[in-house]
Amino acid sequence: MAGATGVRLDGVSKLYAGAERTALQSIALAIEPGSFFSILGPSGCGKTTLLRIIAGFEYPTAGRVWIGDRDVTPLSPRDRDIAMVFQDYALYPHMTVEHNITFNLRNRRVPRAEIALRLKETARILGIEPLLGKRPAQLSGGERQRVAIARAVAGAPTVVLADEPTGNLDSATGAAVLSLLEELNQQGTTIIIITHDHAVAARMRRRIEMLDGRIIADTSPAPVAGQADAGPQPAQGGPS
Amino acid sequence: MMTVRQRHALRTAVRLAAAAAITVLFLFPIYWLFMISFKTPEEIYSFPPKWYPGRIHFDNYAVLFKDGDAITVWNSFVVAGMSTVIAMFLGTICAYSLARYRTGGEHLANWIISQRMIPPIAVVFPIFLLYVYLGWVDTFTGVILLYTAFNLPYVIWMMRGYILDIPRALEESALVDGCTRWQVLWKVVFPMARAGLFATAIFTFVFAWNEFLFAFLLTKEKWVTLPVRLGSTITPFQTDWGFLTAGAIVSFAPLLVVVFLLQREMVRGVSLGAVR
Repeated sequence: MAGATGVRLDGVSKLYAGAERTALQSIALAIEPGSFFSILGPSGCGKTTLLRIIAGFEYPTAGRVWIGDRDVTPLSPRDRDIAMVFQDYALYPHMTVEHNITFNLRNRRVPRAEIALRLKETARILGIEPLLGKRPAQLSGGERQRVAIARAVAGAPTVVLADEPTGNLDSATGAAVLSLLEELNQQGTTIIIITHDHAVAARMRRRIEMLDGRIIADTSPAPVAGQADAGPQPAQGGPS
Repeated sequence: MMTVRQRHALRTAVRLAAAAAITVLFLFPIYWLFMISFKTPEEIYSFPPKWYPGRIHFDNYAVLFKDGDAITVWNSFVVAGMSTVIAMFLGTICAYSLARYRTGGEHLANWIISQRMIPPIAVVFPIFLLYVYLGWVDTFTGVILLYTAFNLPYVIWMMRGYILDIPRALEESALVDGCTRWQVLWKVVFPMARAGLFATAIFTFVFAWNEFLFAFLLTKEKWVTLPVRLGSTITPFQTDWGFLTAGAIVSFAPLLVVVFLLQREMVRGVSLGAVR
């Protein structure tokens, strides 16, 4: 995996055209490199908008987004060195699993030999080698999410964003998917997950809670494994 | 008293008989067209009518090709093909813009399709005068431009529906995977809308291939299309049925082959866009 990179939001606000209230209100947030981070909150609290702004699918009305030491605010998603795991998997139905996983690498003109190597390694880690020739429609929900994660990490991104990655899965499959993400994080990838599920958020090392477009709590990592969380703290900004 | 099995068998037999009757009803005109095209003039006008020719006779087809009328088949093919390609390209891009960026607001798509609902007769004379003024009558550019303009609303409307059916997350995923917007279109949207593209292209081609009114007024000699040439065989004094039927067979044979080859894609495409 590439070296870990943090994400920083400086006063990010979002007001959708025609909307009466802001979706995000001056969010200041620093996510440390190598974080296993969750954004928690009910529907409509702005967490998806926040993730989409980090990904580059939406542009903020005000404020800046930094990934590592780059101001990525005006950049398109392809130039942000991120990967995304979607709740509905977003696997390309007209491609095989193999082509889904290598799509990113082929678009970025990675040499064939390296693509083959990365495909083999990623498929081995995620246990999806027997699925490579299949189409997404032939897979179960859990298999699809593993393929989606494989696709996200095959490009060795520094930051992986996950939108409710366990939202459509049963609890056992969801736990397995979270374990996979944990493993990736242990290899140094910054992982940011949005969820409305407190049980999922509890497994993360740091989480923020959002309501009405604002951060209302920031729960820092437990200093020692096995100890209780440090408890909610005021939201904080500043550089990573 | 009938058993359940007997009732089921009877119901199936009635259904099959009804299906067979409807099939015969629809296929008979095509059969008759084929038969007339192979008959001699005596056989065509014989009474009582002959259900099939005494021997297969290709004279009607030979006349079609010998007198240079086959060029009208080529004209129809070029005009319908080119206008379909241009309308599909422009229309799909417009449809993407409408579907994803809401270009022109909520109602632009409705306004565009409303253009398709204008009766051609209402605009044919203003267009004729405009074409005379521009010197576009009986020109390649003029006919293709007109057919493209007439087919664009249909293409835009249909393709917008197909594109709206594609989950936006797939396009976003492709953007993260290193695609530009054009690459997203080429690598994700077009392959996923393939059935819709085929169905729309075939219908667009058929509209242009069969179009009569504009071609009748806006072509004179060089770019006369097959429907216009066939129409000219019907006069108050005489109708050359042999020539007309041979021309009609040549006219719909390519469509029959295309539809036969792509029928699965067409049916899928039509049903995909049905809910938008």
